Amino acid sequence: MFPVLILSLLALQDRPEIQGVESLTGRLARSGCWLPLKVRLASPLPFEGDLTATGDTGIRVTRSVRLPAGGTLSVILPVIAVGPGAKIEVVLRGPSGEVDRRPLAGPLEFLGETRLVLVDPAHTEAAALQREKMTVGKGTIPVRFVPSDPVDWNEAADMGALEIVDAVVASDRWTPDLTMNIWRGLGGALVTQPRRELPDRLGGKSGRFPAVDPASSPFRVNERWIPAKRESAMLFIVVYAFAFFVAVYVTWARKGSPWLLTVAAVAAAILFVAAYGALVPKGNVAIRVWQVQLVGPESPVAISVCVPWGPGEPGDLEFGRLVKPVHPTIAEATMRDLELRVEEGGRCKARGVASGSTTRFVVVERAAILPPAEREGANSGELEYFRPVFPLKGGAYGQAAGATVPPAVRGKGIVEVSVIRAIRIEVTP
Amino acid sequence: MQLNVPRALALYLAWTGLTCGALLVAIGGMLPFGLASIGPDGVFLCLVEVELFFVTVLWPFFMPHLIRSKVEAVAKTVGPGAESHFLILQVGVLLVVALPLALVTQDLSQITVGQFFRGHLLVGAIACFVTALVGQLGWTRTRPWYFLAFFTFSALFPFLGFLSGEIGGGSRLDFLAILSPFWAAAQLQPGASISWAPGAQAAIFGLLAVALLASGPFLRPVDSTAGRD
Repeated sequence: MFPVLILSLLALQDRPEIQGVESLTGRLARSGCWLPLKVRLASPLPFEGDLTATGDTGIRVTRSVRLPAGGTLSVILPVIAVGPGAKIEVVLRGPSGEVDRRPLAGPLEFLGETRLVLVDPAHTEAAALQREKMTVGKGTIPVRFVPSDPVDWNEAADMGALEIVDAVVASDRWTPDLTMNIWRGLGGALVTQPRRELPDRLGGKSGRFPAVDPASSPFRVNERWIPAKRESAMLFIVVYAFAFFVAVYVTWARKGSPWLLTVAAVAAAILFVAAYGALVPKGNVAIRVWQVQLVGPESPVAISVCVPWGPGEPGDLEFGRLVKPVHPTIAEATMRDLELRVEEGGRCKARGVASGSTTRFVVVERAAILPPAEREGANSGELEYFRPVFPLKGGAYGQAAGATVPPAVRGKGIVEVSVIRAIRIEVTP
Repeated sequence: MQLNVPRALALYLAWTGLTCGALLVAIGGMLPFGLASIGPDGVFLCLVEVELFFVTVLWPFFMPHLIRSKVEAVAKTVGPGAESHFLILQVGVLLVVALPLALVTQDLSQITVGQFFRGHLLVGAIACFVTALVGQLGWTRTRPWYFLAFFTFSALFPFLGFLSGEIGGGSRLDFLAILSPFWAAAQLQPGASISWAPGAQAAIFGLLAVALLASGPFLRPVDSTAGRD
């Protein structure tokens, strides 16, 4: 018995483990928004596996991890929490199965309109900010300050995991290294002098995309045919009919023998079978996109609402960066088994996507340069009020965009990615 | 045996024109008020139904003059109906000619390989049966009875089944619809209630075709010219 116990303990010591799970925002969260987790791993042996975070919806996020022998690793992993009793858990899996599992300690505190600001502990005012009670919006909106290590901010922001954060207070040491472009393009504020800058910067709302939003339900496709498939099929049929006519008619006109006529007919058919295999697009999935282009002081960002549709099954969809699945009801967010796999280079692969489901994928991408907007119809320069402008809250004045920023969506069977409507909104500071 | 070239040309062009034209009209929704406008899931079914219509209604008109008179000398020697085998070969050519369209519609409709082959097996079996029937019995003699039977099986039986379902009552005649090749072909889609119908009909008509071909020497005398077209 004793040797068995010793061997068991030794086996446990040789396994990789999750040393700790914490949130970059303390215990503060927003319903349906990404909660950035920082997971510390350690392994006495070389290890390759997957780290998965799950919340109280069917959406889980996975990242591949690789640890050298005796090494440690800190991984940023976002997770979605919707309800007050959400149980956040992180699971480490290896080739042979589950290795370790650890929950996020403590209940989450969900914020409403309260603004959330991360503070660099090295900032001179860090301690004072956490003691004071700051408000914005003419004293109606409280501000919460949470200490956070800036070393994680860039990675978390580029993943979209700082969704619930409205501003960060950075010390002079970190300010040159912080980019966080897309987060800032959506309204996030990077400040070094909080008392002077925060009251103005926190007055407006940042761009957030809750995982449960009834405003997403109108974004659906009611068409039966994917235009690219329909056009390619009709073109193929027309070309084949014409080519077949030419082949057999010419053979007959040249007084070809009966067998030559048959051979000509069969040869034309075989040729077009080969042409079908080589040229006609296969797959029966399309992506329909509604887009909002935000042009602000920071680099312009394009927010795309992507809807997979078509008679085929999408399979794995690959997006340019972390994508946010949005459902119209909490029931649908819970019953969907959806895995988001964050891969090298920041690309995100969504598994478990079903065509015709109510899942909408919100992708935020940085747009380099946008051509001038075009106003449909009426006088140029006149803005039109769009209400609602999903996924931004409320309405906004904007113009029909002159050009679109096609989201970087890839997947097996996708034959068409079409932006059905694009609106450009100028964001004034 | 020698193929009648102009007749064969007309056959190939009619076959291609009908199948391509029907698909273009259906996919393009070219008819007014959305008539014959189908979704992608119905494209393969459209092709199979058009092919069935051709082999049951138009193909018998092509058959009698498709082979040159040279063959009659052969028929007098080996017995009438010998050209049926050659005509069945032409049925195979027609199916090969329609193969590019079949592949395109198979991709659009997302049907399985089994459904694809069952559909074409049904078309081929019925075409062979029609070929053997008309070849053995003669077209002129059988034409009225052929179309009467065609109308009965293809239209009347399904209609009676529909009426019995609408009228209600104790007895239902909807089982009669299963005898229609067009109704059987309509089962070639996911979730069909009687998915075995196309395969069963293909087997039945195939066996009937084989039986007709085998019984050819017994149906008509060798040197008889009665009923020759």
